[in-house]
Amino acid sequence: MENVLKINGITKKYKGFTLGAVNAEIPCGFSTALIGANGAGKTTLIDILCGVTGKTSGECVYFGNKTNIDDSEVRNRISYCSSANFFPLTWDLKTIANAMEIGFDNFDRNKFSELCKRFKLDDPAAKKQKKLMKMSDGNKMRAYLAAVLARDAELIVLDEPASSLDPLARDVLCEIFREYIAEGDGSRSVIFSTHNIADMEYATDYAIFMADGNIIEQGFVEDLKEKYILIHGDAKDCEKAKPYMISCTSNSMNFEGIALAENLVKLTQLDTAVEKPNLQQLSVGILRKAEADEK
Amino acid sequence: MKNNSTSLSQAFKLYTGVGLPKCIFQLSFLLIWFDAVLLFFMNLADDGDVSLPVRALSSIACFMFINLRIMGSYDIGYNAGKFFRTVKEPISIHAKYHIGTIIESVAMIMVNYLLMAIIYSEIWECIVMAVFMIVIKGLTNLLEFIRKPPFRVIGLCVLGIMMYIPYIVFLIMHRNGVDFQPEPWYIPVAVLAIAFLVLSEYIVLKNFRKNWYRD
Repeated sequence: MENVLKINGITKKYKGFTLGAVNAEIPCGFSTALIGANGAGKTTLIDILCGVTGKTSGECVYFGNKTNIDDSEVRNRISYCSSANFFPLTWDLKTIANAMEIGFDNFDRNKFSELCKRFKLDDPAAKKQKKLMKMSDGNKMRAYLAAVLARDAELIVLDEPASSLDPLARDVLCEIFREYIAEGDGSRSVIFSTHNIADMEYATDYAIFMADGNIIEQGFVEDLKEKYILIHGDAKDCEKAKPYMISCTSNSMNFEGIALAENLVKLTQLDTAVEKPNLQQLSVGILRKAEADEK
Repeated sequence: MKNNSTSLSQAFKLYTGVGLPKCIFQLSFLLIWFDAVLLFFMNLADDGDVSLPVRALSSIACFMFINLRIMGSYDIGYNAGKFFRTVKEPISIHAKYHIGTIIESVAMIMVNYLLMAIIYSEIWECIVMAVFMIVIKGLTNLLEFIRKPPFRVIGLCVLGIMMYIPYIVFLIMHRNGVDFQPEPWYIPVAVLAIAFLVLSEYIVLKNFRKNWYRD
């Protein structure tokens, strides 16, 4: 199986917002990050892919040959978590485990206990349990993640899992993603949306950039780092460099921005320093370009 | 990978965190406790006949108990709405849960009016009220056609007021000395009320399936 998901022209129309048409091929066996500004359509796309909400048109092919998200076999293979209030706030870890066991065929209670321990949560088998409403936002998200990661699913889809986590928990999450994918030996994939790009870069193999309901760029992170370059220079050279850059920020002393690698020769002639961008710098550059184009 | 179909009680447990029998037991206990407290305070406050206010207030309690879950928990915007939409058979599980809530409501009606019948020995009146409550439950079920929660609440308030119709009728009959023999009507009216409840449930679930992805 080459692609875990093949998205063919998915659209969704709301009052004042239209998603798509979205076309994308998400590779199997990798971790894919959906990156975009607020309101770019990441959550809507994730919700459509996981059968939470309907689409206006288009199709998605799951696991190479399935197109019906209402097929319980497909649903059992996808483990999804929303960004907030995924479970009722009156539930505790034990209730979550009970519900997950009923709701899915592949929930592993022992793995849930292990993950709770790893995320520094209470023991779900303990008699006295803390309800979700009494937990901090970060701990609530840890509980959600422990529940969805405890399933033996082939695809994990998480909507902004890192937003309420502290840096250490984000690091644990990245590690878990890596382990999960490695255990699957090419058959397991992760898709997540994030604004915490720097913290999640370690867990990102493939990146999809979204703006205003559309995909504006996608590819393997290593390929994107070859396609784009990071440019630094003195402020005096900024105006000369700007035509070759896709986005640029400057102050009175110097400037920095992202350019296509094909402009490398022209930019180095302007006495600029060239570096390989990290995912954070790349994202800011690409999203700024989309914002400027929109204006 | 196991492949088990979800039972009604499991579906109810998935949504509420508690199995259906346990939930009915807990709510019954609460309802009986509420009725007992009501009776106690009414007797303290008034030396005269408190049976009518107690019966009327216990009907309010019953109305609240049977409509505990009227606001639904499957809409995306509600807590856990997205979770319930991603389980293995979301529509079938939701339908089973919904049927569970109807069973729970009917059990609450039975408990409340059985208790009232034991306390006041007005069996015919309790049967009439229980049957009327079943009709009210059928109507509140149909409120799910109203998609906007504030309008749904308004509809619920209207039904809450409608609940007093039998009491007004009882009062008029009592004042005018009407001698009503309800016994021959018990079974046909109860059957009709239950049929209406079942029909409303069928319509609601059919509509729910049709509009699953419309949001």
